Amino acid sequence: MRSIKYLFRLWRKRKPSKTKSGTDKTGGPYNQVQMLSPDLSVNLKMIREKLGNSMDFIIREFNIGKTRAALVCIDGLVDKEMIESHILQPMLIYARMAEPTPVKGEKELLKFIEDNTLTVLDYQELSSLDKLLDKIFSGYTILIIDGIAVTLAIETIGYEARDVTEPETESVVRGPREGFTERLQVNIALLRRKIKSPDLRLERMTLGEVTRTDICIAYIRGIADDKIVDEVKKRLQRIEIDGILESGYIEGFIEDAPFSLFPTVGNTEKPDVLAGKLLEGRVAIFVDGSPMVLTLPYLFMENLQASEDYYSRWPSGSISRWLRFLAIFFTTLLPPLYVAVISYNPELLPTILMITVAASRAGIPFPPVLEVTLLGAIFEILREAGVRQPRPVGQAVSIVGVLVIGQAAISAGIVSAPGVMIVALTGISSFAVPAQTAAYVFIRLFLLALTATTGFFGLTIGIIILLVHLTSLRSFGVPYMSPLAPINVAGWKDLFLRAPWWAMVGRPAVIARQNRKRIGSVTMPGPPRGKAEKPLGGEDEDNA
Amino acid sequence: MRIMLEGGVISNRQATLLVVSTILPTSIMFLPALISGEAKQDAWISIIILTAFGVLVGLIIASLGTRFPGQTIIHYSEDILGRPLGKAVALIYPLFFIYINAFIIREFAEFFIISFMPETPISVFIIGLVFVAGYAVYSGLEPLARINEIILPLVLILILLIVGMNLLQIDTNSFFPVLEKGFLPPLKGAYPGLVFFAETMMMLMFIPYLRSPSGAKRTITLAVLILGFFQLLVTVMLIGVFGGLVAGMSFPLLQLARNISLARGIFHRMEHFILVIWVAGGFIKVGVFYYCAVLATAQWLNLRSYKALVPLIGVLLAVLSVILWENVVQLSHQIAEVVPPYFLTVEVAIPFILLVLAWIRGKGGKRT
Repeated sequence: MRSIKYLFRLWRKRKPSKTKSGTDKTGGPYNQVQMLSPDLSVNLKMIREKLGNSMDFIIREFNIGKTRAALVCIDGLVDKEMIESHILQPMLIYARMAEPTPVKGEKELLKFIEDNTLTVLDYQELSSLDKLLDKIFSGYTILIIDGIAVTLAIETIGYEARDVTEPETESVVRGPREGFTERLQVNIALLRRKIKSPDLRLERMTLGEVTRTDICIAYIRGIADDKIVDEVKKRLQRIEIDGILESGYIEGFIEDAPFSLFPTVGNTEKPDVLAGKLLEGRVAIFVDGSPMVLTLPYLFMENLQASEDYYSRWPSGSISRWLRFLAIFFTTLLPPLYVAVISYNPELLPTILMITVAASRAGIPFPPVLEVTLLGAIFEILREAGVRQPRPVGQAVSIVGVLVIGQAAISAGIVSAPGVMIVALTGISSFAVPAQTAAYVFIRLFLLALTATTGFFGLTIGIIILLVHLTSLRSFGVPYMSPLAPINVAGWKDLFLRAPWWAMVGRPAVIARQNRKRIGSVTMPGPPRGKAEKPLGGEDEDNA
Repeated sequence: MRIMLEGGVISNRQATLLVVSTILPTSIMFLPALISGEAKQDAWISIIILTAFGVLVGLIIASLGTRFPGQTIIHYSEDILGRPLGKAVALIYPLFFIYINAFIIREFAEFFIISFMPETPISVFIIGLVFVAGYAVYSGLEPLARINEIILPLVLILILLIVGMNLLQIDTNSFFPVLEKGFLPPLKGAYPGLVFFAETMMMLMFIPYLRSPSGAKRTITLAVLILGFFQLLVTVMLIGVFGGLVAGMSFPLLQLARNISLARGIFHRMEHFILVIWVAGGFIKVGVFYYCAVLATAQWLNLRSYKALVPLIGVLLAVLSVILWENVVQLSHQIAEVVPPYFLTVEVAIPFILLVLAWIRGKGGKRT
């Protein structure tokens, strides 16, 4: 383990010398602060120089009364109609009408425009070139006026974007169906609509030296642990990379255990799920351009939770919890158990079952380990093939898989029917775990290898190694296996059960340390006590 | 200020569970047969005596530990006895931890071989056990305490299941006559158990890392009581079901598990699953003493970090547990007859003497 880390570190050390020269060229212009000049033509020349001959770059020069001015924007990122009717039109027409108003000095002209002509809601004054370029690329339109060293960045964002649709990854039967999109502003608005508290904090950052991607850290002040929030910010500030294309890039830089099979950073595509996580005291990271929002800290138990557990009544929520527990056990333990029992301790099976299994295994050339491993590999290939195919082809893949593996292989006597059953059950179970990770495939193979060498003893050793690893993990300071280890009995209400809402009084103890209580004095619901308050339409009416 | 070496902190509940895990897995397997040899049907009285003894030892250990906040026995033995003598006494502890751990590892390996896979070479089990324990120790104290919180409940539930499923087979006549030959047989029977119940002394290494070290007395006492309860439960059950046969069995609890047959024999041979969980319990026990050995050695040598010692001591443990004993007969003979005086000296007598000396010489704070 350590040597691997060392190798990685060596590799990392050599890398920067290569990328440094690359980033200097592209990221260089942003590094030095260049102030704007009062001269319009100088400013325009500077901008032209920076942008080169980009084809999507628009400069529109015009007069405000007697003063020369220019609008600068990027085609495709801006709403042109808005620029025409809310910026150009007032400047060209109404500004002339208002000209008799005495305008003394250049600074006052800017003030006059802001106060009297601009019919746009959001604008900013900028005086440095790099900030100006930032705004241009975010879809702002820049108004530069001759004789003034300050420019106006006017919000005119209007680019093509996907609508809010139902995400395919976290589909529900009961619950909201909207999902995040690729636009940061839309995503944040979706969250704001769920949480209307002024305590919802959204802090902006820009990451990626070339892509300049907007990032937003979201948390609820007073619920989220300050230490976790600070730690998140600290880790984000450490990131130095040329580009961030998806939230996965950030995940790779801030996770606690980069060599672990288990993720220590969660993600979700649904505003309601995210709101739930924030209310539990977690911190979210939005990344512009990605519908996947990161949630921290991420605990193992979140593998077992689905948003629907909380929306449906508690018995059904609890039962699906148990099923998921069972699914995790099946998907990791079933093949090793099969091998341990068949190869090492067949006497564990009831006698009749043992005879049946032995009969169906008679004449099979492969030992159980090989059988299960090969079938498992084929299953994973089929799954992978199905995922990337259009739907009709995907069906064909599964039919071929079922026919070839399920039928032909058994009747040809290459694999045994119990082996196929075990692998199929394992595969199906892996779909029942809400957060599918590659971890389970690795765990299965690891346990299989150990079981194949020393049977049940190896299996036990393997499970213990996994448990040691899991309990030694932390996600942003929070023990990964909490509330299982360290034991927190109150937390079990949301692990082994989905307790009724009125019973889940506290937030997870390890995450929201500052503000634990989430439910007021309302206790168990029930019909009103006392006879006088009984609502109409009771038994009395029937009797009368 | 001495270097703490371990940055982790464990809660007192975690410590309680660790103490239970340290003693229970072996005591519940070996003790019933050892006790029944002398005490016969009065074995349960021996357990009560043992529990009282355990509480007493726990109080000694806790008083000693809380007198010197932030220090382990390796440190304060020097304070109490002076540098040369203290250093010499302190050296006993790393050696003791290594020796007792070799014992435990061998016990578990033998147990596994006898009842599970008789044809596999013993080194396979020993290496496997030492490797996982080493991995846990390397990860630190906190993961060890946390993983125990997952495994120990399983072990306890398992014991309750075994007991519960045999409840109907108890023959109450097996308990009579009570105290047939006076108090001597139960006392004699308790003798081999003293070593087990005095293993609470491992807390000498853990008290500085408790979240509230002042609660150490309560922590240890609670652990001994839990332990005594389960030990009593199993002993009563064994006497009730097997009567006088218990003394002749090598692993009576396993026999009790073999008794279980559910749903007309569909679920028989449950003991295999029991063994799986038992290895997990044994792993905790080995891990705790492994950790103590590593930490004690590192503190004795004034090392900056104990991590480098983990593989070294691991190899030592594996080798010692293979070469020190010829077979299981010699091993059980030693547990029952040879080692108790020596172990008890290290586990109880030395801490007690240190406590008295500290009190006389006025070393260490009263209580923090």
